[in-house]
Amino acid sequence: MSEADWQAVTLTLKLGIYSTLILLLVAIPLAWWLARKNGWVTSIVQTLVALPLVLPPTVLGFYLLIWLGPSGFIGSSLESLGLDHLAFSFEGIVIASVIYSLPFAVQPLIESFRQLPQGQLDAAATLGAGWWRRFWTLVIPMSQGGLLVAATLSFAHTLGEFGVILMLGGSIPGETQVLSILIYDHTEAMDYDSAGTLALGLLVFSFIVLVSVYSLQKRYAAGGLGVKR
Amino acid sequence: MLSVDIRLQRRDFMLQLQHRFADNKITAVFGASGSGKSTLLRCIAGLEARVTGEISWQGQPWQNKKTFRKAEQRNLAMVFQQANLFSKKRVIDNIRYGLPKTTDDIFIEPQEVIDLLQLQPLLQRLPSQLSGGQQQRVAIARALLSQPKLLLLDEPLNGLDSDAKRQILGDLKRIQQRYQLPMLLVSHHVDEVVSLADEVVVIDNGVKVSAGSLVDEAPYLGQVSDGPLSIIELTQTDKPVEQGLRCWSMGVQQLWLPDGLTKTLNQVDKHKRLVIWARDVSISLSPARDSSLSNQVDATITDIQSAGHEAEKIVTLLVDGQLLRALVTVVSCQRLKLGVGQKITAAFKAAAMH
Repeated sequence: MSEADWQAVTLTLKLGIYSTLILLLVAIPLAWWLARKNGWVTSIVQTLVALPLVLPPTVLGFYLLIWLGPSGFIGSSLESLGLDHLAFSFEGIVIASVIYSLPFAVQPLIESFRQLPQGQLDAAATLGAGWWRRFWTLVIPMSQGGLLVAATLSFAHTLGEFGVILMLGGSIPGETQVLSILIYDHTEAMDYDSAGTLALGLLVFSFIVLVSVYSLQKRYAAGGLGVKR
Repeated sequence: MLSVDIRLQRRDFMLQLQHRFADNKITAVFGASGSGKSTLLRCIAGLEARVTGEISWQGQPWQNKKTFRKAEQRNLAMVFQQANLFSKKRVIDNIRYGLPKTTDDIFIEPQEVIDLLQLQPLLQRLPSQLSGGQQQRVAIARALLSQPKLLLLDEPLNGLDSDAKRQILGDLKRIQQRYQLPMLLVSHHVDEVVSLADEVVVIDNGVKVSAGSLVDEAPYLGQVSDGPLSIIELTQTDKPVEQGLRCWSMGVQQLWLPDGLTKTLNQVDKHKRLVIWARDVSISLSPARDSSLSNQVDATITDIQSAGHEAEKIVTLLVDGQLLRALVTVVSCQRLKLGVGQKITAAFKAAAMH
């Protein structure tokens, strides 16, 4: 593998980690709210969150390119503050990844939060535990399975992004040229050996990640990790 | 004192209740399933956000037009129908969950409660490794160790076998006696109410029907449960157990009850309350020597009323200052020429007691 290949590997992992961390921070409160409330506002929000599942990535990428670019309201606002716009930048593709993978983080968490035994949370409240204590001592431990699935799917989905990144980030080595883009570039250049090596690596890595998730998920469903029954 | 004046509207049900609960006593909220008992307890606990009206504790508002104290700010604890133990935490971590951090706030000591409820062998187990009765005892311990000023019990014995029920009833009585902790018990089982409660609030379809001392409320308990009943108080005598029967006194009269049965209610002191269903009490004009009914008491008829069925009458009897009700057919009343003031003999089987 060439130095450019390794650079793409590093950049892809960095994008995956950043996106996953940001996604969890955003998705946990969002999923909690969606799981607990009913009404037309939640229906609209849930629809917006799910849109990346049905939209062609190029559509999302197009709008992000417009909004985050120098002429868009976000990009131009940043420039008026003396900052750079976000098109063709690592920060831009992180934002795109977060939006694109949001349903993969939010949906498992909603399911997980909906299954929480309300009786245990009520009991904790009558024992004097405020919201934060209930959240950290009960909700998070009981939602470990959902959190794990949300984090892993987000990470794996970010690794597989192509259309959105190509539209918004292009293919700038060290900045936006992630593995999926580099595989495309190698293929276009008819360098099938390099493309094949990277494609196989991505395939094996994704397979291992998903196998780990599903086996861990089964162990959680059976009663939790590290607990002998 | 807990004072409640609340209203909660749901689709096809409305709870509207005003009551001042007695201090330092066990008050039973009694009623049929779906009458709003558990909802009332949830309102008091602060778990029903849509309730309107006023709730105050010792003069401090928990809820009024301006204030809504959250459940965690009310300094109460609640034991639910399901134990609701924290499934990922061991028993010891469950029962210490609500324990205050500063020792000055602890007036119910953990070890004392662990000993009282015999939880020592269970402390390292997970909730899934406990029986239903054990889970409920852990839930009670957990509630107590949060040092509540008021303990709410929402049908805590539902679904438990009779041995587990017996043990927990005794535990609750001991807890009340030791800590003088006011408790509200929701139940639709007469035996639980009679065993534990000092006061009773009877509710039906979301509205208070009656309230008062346990003995005074006996007619209402009968209406909601399996027909008319009596609640009598007995005192244990010093006589030794004979052929499995223990001697109890009802004023100057004596009753012999199976020794096992006499343990079913509280074992705390030498006094006990029993429920006797009116359908299980028979009347004769003189003591029946050739009857298998060994528990016979002298009584005076104080009242004869119509019963639910036109063929039956409820005959109220005075037995050494206590009221005993008998369900007698109209035909028998006429045949025996029963009338108010008449002295008769009332008989019932020991097994008829609950």
